[in-house]
Amino acid sequence: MHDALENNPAVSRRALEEHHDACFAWALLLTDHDRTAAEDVLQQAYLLVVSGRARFRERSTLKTWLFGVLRNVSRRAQRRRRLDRLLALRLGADPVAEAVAPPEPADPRLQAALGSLPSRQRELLGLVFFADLSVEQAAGVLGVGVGTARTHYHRAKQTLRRLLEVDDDG
Amino acid sequence: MTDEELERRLRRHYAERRAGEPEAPSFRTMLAQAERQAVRPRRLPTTGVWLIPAAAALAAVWLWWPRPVQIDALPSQEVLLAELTSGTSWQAPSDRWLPAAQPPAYLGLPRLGAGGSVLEPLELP
Repeated sequence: MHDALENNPAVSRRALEEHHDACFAWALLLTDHDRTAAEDVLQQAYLLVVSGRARFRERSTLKTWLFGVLRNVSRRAQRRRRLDRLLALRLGADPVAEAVAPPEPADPRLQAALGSLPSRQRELLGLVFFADLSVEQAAGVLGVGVGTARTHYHRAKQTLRRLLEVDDDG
Repeated sequence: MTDEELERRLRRHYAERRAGEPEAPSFRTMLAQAERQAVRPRRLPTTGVWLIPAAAALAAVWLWWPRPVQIDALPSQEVLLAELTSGTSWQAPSDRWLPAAQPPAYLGLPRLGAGGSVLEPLELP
């Protein structure tokens, strides 16, 4: 592979570029559509890949692995932001403004129902319906077993159906 | 609501969200920046890492620094004289102590050796 990354020989620049748009879309979903935060997450993930601190060992597809790296980077960034906000509150400083409001959803009821799901279930649905991964691939991204992912997937759909039906009845 | 209906609704919802998304930033620019950052030398360890060897070095210096002679452990000239006249010889508390200078001969005091041992018998006038 002539365009393979020096510290990550199993990853080629071309393959990385093929998944670039999907990775950015996933980063946007992880950061609640905050473009700046999504770019930071993607940049940090590329740094990990290029430096070899995140190593692709071909145990899954490149896309699944990249999504997993992005998810880890995003979670770390979220923890740091939470800590910064807490510190700012403790010191009496004005907390940093929250992320930009996401675009108005076309289906606000579904959006609200999705928002009430536990984060893992929401991520799972995002991976399946937004990133077009199978439940098995999504399990790889989330770092859970396939059985666990299936359970989360069915529970998430069950909860959504119940919430939406309650809304329809009301 | 059937499972198929829910899935259709979810797909439509995410498709609409995706359609309204901003364009992805340039891949080449981002990769080039990551490659520049990856070759940048790593930062020096944080202050905490340096504190341990610095404290160890300070402790070593403190332990090996020569201690001053304890002056109050030496007897006064009167005590020394009294002990000498009574026939006992005064011993310095430690072998580490050496008299800096011998007493003048006209005093008739004995010459002291290492550890305060008496080298000459006392001859009083």
